[in-house]
Amino acid sequence: MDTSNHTNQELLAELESLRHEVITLRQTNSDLEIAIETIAAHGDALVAELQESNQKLEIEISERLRMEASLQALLETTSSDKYDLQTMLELTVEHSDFLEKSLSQEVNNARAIAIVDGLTQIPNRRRLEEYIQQEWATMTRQKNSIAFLLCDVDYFKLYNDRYGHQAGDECLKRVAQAIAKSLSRSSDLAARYGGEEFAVVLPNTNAQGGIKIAEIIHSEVAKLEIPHLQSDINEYVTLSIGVSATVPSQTSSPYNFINNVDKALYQAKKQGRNCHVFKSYNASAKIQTNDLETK
Amino acid sequence: MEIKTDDYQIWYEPEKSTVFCSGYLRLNGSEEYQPIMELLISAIGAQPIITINLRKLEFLNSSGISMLSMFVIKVRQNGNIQLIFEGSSKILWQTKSLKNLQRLMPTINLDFS
Repeated sequence: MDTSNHTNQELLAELESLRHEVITLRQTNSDLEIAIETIAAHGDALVAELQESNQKLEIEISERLRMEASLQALLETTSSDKYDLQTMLELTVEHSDFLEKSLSQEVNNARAIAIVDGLTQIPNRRRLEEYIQQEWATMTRQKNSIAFLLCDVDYFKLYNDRYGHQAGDECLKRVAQAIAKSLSRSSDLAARYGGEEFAVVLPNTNAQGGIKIAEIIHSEVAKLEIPHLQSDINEYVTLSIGVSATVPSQTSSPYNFINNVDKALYQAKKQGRNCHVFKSYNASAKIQTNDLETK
Repeated sequence: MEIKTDDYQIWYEPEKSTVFCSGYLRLNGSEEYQPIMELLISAIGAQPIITINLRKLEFLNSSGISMLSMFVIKVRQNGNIQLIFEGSSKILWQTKSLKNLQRLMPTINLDFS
């Protein structure tokens, strides 16, 4: 009888214990289920976050690829624009260099024509005036003598009347050549001064030098032997020549000097033509020294 | 369409698909060349070929050659258009500068006579 009571108490105790255990286990189970749900939910949240980041990264990558493509296109356009601009610049510059060269040549040709007398082909009056200004200044600086001649064809109007204007032109051409031929230095200049008048500029030349050239000119023209039946003094064409020489000064101008030569020429005419007259000139003073006359 | 002054004449003959230029062109800068540029561009029509005849164009200044260069680039950018320049071997600037235009568009045809 005790054993059964004992057993019942044991069983009851065990039952109570088991009941407690079940409660505990149920609690534990419930806790575990909650834990599992929490972990799963957390995992889902992490995956969702990762997916969102991933999408953002993909968008950014595609954005950058697009920008890279457009920069590449811009670079290509710029390079091609740069090539175009460079090429345009080069060809425009080459074109204008070429134009400058040919225009410059035309200017030189025009200039050459502008300073030559059309008929006689020796320098014209314009060139003479330019040259005498230039040499007057140089001789002033160097304190050297300059000589000037004015040569006039004797009885030229009568020559024209007798032989005609074409012959007159021809005569002037030949006389011009003879005068030019009489000069030997590159700095000497013979020019057509007027209708039948020629001028000669002789830098670095004194009175003797000027007179010598006048004599050579007479001789060269005489060699031409151009018949002139209307001339009162000779059967051939002759010249009257006025000569002067001076050392120019700062205050003097070539025009007074040329006037002086003109007076010498006038005297040559008065003295019977076919001769030369020297008239000295002092550029620093208005007074003129004694005239020197030679035939 | 035509531009005519005492110094130069520019006109377009659509039947020949050709723009003719003659005389002396020495205008000041790209602004003054604008009307001519517009005439040239208007000739870039539906035709696949466009000819520019310069046989009587005696003189062209720097601004002019610069304008022609820009026109060539425009034609090139337009796509498949055959561009022909008719020039004169007697006009020296043409023998040099038209050849240079080929650097901008190698398919340009040069016809000198």
